[in-house]
Amino acid sequence: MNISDLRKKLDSKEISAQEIFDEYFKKAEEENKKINCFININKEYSKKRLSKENNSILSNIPGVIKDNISIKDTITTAGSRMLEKYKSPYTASVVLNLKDFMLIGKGNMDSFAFGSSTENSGFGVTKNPLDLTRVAGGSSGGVSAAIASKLALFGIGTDTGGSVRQPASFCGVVGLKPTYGLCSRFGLIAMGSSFDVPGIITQNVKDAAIVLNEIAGYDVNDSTSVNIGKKDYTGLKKINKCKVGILKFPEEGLDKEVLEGFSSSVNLLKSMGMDIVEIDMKYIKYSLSVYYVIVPSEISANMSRYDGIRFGYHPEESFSVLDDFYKESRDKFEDEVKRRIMIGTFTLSQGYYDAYYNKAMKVRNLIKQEFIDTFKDIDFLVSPTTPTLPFHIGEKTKSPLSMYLSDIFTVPANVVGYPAISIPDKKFGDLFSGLQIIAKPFEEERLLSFANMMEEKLWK
Amino acid sequence: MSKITDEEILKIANLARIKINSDDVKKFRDSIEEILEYVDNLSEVDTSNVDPFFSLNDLSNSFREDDPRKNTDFTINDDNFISLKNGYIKVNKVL
Amino acid sequence: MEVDLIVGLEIHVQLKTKTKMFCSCKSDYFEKNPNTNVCPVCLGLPGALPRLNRESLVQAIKVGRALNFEINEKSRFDRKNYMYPDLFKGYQITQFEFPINTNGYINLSSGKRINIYRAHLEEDTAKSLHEKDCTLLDANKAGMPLLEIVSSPELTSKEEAKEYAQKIYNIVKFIDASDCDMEKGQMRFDINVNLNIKEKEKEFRTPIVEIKNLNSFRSLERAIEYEQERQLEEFMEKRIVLEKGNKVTRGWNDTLGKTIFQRNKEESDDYRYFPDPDIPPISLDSDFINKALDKIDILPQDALDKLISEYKLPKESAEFLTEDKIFYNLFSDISKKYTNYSTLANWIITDVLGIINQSGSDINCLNKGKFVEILNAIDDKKISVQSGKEILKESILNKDFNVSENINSSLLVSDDSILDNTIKKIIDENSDLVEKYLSGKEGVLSFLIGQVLKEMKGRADPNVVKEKLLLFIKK
Repeated sequence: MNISDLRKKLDSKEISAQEIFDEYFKKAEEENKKINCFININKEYSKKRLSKENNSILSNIPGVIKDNISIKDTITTAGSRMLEKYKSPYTASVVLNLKDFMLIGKGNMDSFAFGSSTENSGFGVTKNPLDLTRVAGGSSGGVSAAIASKLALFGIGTDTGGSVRQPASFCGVVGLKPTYGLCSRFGLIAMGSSFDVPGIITQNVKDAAIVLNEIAGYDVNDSTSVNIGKKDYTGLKKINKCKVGILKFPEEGLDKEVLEGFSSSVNLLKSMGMDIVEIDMKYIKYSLSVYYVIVPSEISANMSRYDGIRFGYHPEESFSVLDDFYKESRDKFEDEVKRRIMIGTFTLSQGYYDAYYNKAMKVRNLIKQEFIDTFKDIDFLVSPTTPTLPFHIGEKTKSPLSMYLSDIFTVPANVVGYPAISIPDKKFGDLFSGLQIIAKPFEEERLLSFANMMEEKLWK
Repeated sequence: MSKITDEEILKIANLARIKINSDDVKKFRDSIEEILEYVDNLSEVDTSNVDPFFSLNDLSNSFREDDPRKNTDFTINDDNFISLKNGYIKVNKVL
Repeated sequence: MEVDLIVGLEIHVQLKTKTKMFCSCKSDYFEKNPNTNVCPVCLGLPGALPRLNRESLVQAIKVGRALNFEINEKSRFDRKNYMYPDLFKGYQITQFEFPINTNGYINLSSGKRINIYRAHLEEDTAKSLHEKDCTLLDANKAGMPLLEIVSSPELTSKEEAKEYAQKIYNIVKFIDASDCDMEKGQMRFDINVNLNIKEKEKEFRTPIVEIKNLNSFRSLERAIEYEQERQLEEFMEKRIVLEKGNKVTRGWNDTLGKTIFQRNKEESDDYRYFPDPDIPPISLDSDFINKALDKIDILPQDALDKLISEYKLPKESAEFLTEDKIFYNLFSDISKKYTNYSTLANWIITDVLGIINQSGSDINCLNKGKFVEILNAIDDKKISVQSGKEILKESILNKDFNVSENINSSLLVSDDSILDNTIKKIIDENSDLVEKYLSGKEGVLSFLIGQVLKEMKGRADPNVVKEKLLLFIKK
């Protein structure tokens, strides 16, 4: 079932909103027990909101929203016990754009989106529906698992360094990270503000295009939102000939399945008559370092509002020293949150700012320029989405760095703000490897057309 | 040479208002040090002529016009705020 | 021993805009119920993002020009990290490395130039009410646009500091960048004070003391005076000198007339500034800056020069009229219809403002047309100055007061016989005083003139009365 099919059934009254409601919530409640993909299931909320009219393309279409995206009068935890009881008094712009869709649940995630496996969630790990011993990826693991389990037709996540593409890849579904500035960040609980974007997770590329059509658009509430006018992303075209860059990367640390899947896709591209260019970039290899300096720096400031005074967790007892009150309140943060706040506090502190933050910003400028230059010669840049197949639960929790390295292919697109998509590349048993395609800024239309064509070639 | 000392861990934890005990110091120091070592490769890049201003999409001047909000139905209540007193947000004694 | 005072001033001015700096909440929050003028942005809710109010930048540019700053085409906003209950995001959006205005100055009346490092934009915090067992926060003013004007520490006396602050107040108000109402907290002073002490050819500097949130010129002066004495005493006793990290914050208690120790400024003050990723940089072209500057119709200095050179007003009158834009506007408006400029200036300064201050009424109660009618009647010798003043007063206090009618009923008596008869009558009634005058006590003359004027109900020209009186006495 895809969005267009369900839309037709709803419009022709072959199925009613109430029937969809009953079917999807029943399934969500059952499956959630197995895979823990929801922090909250919003049955009561959606019951009151069943739309009588079907006037938007997503009217009564089941969707899931990552739990760091604010929805008025619903609990929005960002995956942290810190916000266990926080009800947002307003709604994120992207959710407003979804109009009268049917909210199934709020997706589980790494606490404040800090992580690549949902193992850092304050509400327990999400299991990969393809193999329950493995992680679903992260940080949008809950949304990806829900889509893979067909608990909804689309999901909105957030992508700061791969948090939509990596879990989509791990769960064998489609994950789209739009250009920074195309979709509003207003109402997304900030992680790395200059990297964060709302992203889309669906079962296929066509559905991703339908959802992008709804959520893309200029928002005056987000100063980094770009006004490019309204575009239609759903008219997917056939792309006959284009230049595809293959990123040169060291094969060390990569699963052989990932390499195998990727090289067969490269061969497929060649057989399709695409112009293949091997790309060797000088600065791209610093992306992860840039990311792991700037993001924690931004995090350290973004997390300061969780002070126990206005919302979120706060201790009952009173303190005579203000700092003790803060420390007690903020002790509710999960370890990974504390770690990243501390890294960012360090990289911004006196005596270290120039060596870390300022340096990373300058290298970021170099990487951005390098992307501009590289994309003068190519239309798309392809690589695997992740270096490995989904890893086992607990496998990487001991070393945060090894976890960070799983973002190596996805991070560069966030460093430069380019759009990127992950589609299932090859199947190995129950698991999939993922293919990532990066395009020029604001060329989502071509990116989706190209991804749609690849999806058809690979899977039909 | 170590990238970060125990004292520095304590200092930044204090700056960030994060409670930390002696067991935590080592745990955090090791993982943070590992990350700082990893990002150290940035120092090999020559950035002497790079513009300090950075903006994705080269945006600048995102202004808002000085028009008061028309829709003023936004309110705060006990549902989303911890502690209110006569409409004020209440904090335990601040010294 | 020689003791020199060193003072630097940071002045926070709340800029005049209709909305807050980063959201569309209104700026007329004064006396509204707590937390009713708020939104997700100024409450610092998770997910909320700032959007810069264009007008706050325009106002900053105007001040930049008026205080002789370099207005920077490129500037940006930074996050200043510190946690305090009145700062909801845990960081303040301010301008650190690249502020909008740098390197300004003003001149004091002595001719001494005071350099001003910078004037940057930043957001205001929430209001705290400290109660016995808790603190109450009101976010109605959180996020209001402030301009922080940072002087170099070149002020060497409390008088200089006050004059500097007063001048900034006048200028900022004159160009309508702020109302500067100190009772509403629209202008606040932070001062940095220490001493340079020369003793037996050795020089010492006392630790810098910062005193925050002074809200009147008087407290500014008193705090400096108190601190000057306290630091000297402390130095004589403890001999502590300025070192890195021994800066201290003290609070001013207006009732006690004392500063009180608050905290040492140590490592807690690592603010970890970095560019705010939510706000793209500011890059202004000359068109934007010129449009902002066009909103200043005249700078106070230019207004002063104009009054002196074009209108030939005495310096003191010109200075008075350029202290407040309202005075200046009044003068320049009326001067289009009434060209006896120095008379006009005197009437505004002494009479109009006198009446307004005394009665507590508003300057808008003055009807400019009627005012000119009165001045013309005096010049045409239709009414006496005395009558003119009375009519002016009545016309300000009562908007329905009929000026033309009252001018007509106060006309100077043109029939000589009436005045002559009155003078004769007064001379007859006061023959003893006339004797005294003739014996050399000239002072009684003014009494006699007064008696005549009283009898004439102000409808006689004092000069004419005097002339005639002398004539009759000598007869």
